[in-house]
Amino acid sequence: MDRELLAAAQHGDEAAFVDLIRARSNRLFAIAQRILRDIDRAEDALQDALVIAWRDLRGLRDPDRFDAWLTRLLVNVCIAQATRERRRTANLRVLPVDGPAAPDEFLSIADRDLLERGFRRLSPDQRAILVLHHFIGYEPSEIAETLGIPAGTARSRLFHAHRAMRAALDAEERTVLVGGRSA
Amino acid sequence: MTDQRSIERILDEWFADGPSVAPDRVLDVAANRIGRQRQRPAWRLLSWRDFPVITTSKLVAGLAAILVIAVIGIAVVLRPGGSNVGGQGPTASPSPVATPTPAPTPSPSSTVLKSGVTGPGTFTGRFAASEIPWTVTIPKGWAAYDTDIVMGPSRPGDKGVAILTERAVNVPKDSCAPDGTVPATSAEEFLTALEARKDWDISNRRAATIGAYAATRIDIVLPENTPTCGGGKDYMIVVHNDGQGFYSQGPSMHVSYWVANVNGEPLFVERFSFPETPASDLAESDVVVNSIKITP
Repeated sequence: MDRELLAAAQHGDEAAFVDLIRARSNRLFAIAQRILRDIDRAEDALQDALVIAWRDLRGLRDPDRFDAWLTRLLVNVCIAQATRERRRTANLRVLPVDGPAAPDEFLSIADRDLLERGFRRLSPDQRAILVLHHFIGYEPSEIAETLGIPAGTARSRLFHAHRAMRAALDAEERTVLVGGRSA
Repeated sequence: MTDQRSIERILDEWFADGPSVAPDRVLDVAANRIGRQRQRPAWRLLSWRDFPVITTSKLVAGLAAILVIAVIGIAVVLRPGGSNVGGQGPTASPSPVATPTPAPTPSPSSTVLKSGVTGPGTFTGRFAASEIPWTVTIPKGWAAYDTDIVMGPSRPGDKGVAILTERAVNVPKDSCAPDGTVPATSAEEFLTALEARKDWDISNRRAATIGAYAATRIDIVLPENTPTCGGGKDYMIVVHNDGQGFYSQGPSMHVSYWVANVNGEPLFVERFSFPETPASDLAESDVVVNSIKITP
């Protein structure tokens, strides 16, 4: 079914393309939101990625690669948007957390706030790698395929992303402690 | 919270929370934008080497193989039954004369210009993918892409040549910021906009014909270091009113336009090539352009 829709979309059938992406929009939106940590920006990124996908769809030669190709497009759009945003807000305090953050037994609200701040300290590439691994559940080889990088590079980047996240959380904890003492 | 042991579990847990349903407006807006976005022809997304035409080397290898087989075949056919030493041999019976295989004539379906058809042949497509029919004759080694584009022999790197048809386009004032460009309503309007681009090397206008219509030809050479626009944006040469269109395919790209007013509307034949495009390919492309017929 998807193959038929894809073939039709590649021949300019807009309705087929919309049907094709409708089934994938929730997953893609969730990825974008987790990389960008902002619902509005995630919507913009997803829209941009879908328009680019439509524009370049005829260049996709292997239908079986459609999902990986689409995910890659979206991640690239998110990285570009996060890079722009990072430059713009480099000296600004981070925004409050977006989206529901239902408390559970494992992570407190304070923990979540700390994670949010720490995550925003990461480079856009590192954010994307962590989301693909921890949210989508991709192994480094799958991350490599999605991002078009060697598997060894994906493993290395994942390792460094984890390390950067730990460092960012440590830095945020110190900031909170210092802030608390001086208040 | 940040020790190695727990960081992965923390991230798993944290990412699991959060919105997981895309608002309906995302698809609505995307669908609306898609309706205003033309799909790029696939060849513009491929490198030249990916383009499925017979490469020159394959052609040469194929012809050489045919020649070898032909020579061996003739030698076998002409070889006498025994030695001729000491006398006249048996009267030679007429040997089979090799008759050239007639060139394949295009079947009715192959006369339609579409992706995958290859020359030689005369094909009818849709000018700029519109309802206007156009006919073009392409030589061996050339191929069509879609119904409005023909491409010369595949060459490694930026050495190819292609002929495109365009409609409802104009030259942007800024190739990196083409939004707001209004399609030219006449050949003169297009040529004036083109000549206003002082950052391009532009020839004088020359009288020409295209598809039996009086036309103007003008040639441009893009800068050696064609600027990249950043942010994944293309360096646009001509654009439609949605800002999409034909963009730079490589440094120092040469582009020729044949512009004709046809039934009150400017139509454009566009040829692009590169400094290293073989002269033989360019000569063939001239013949191809001259073969074009537009029958609105």
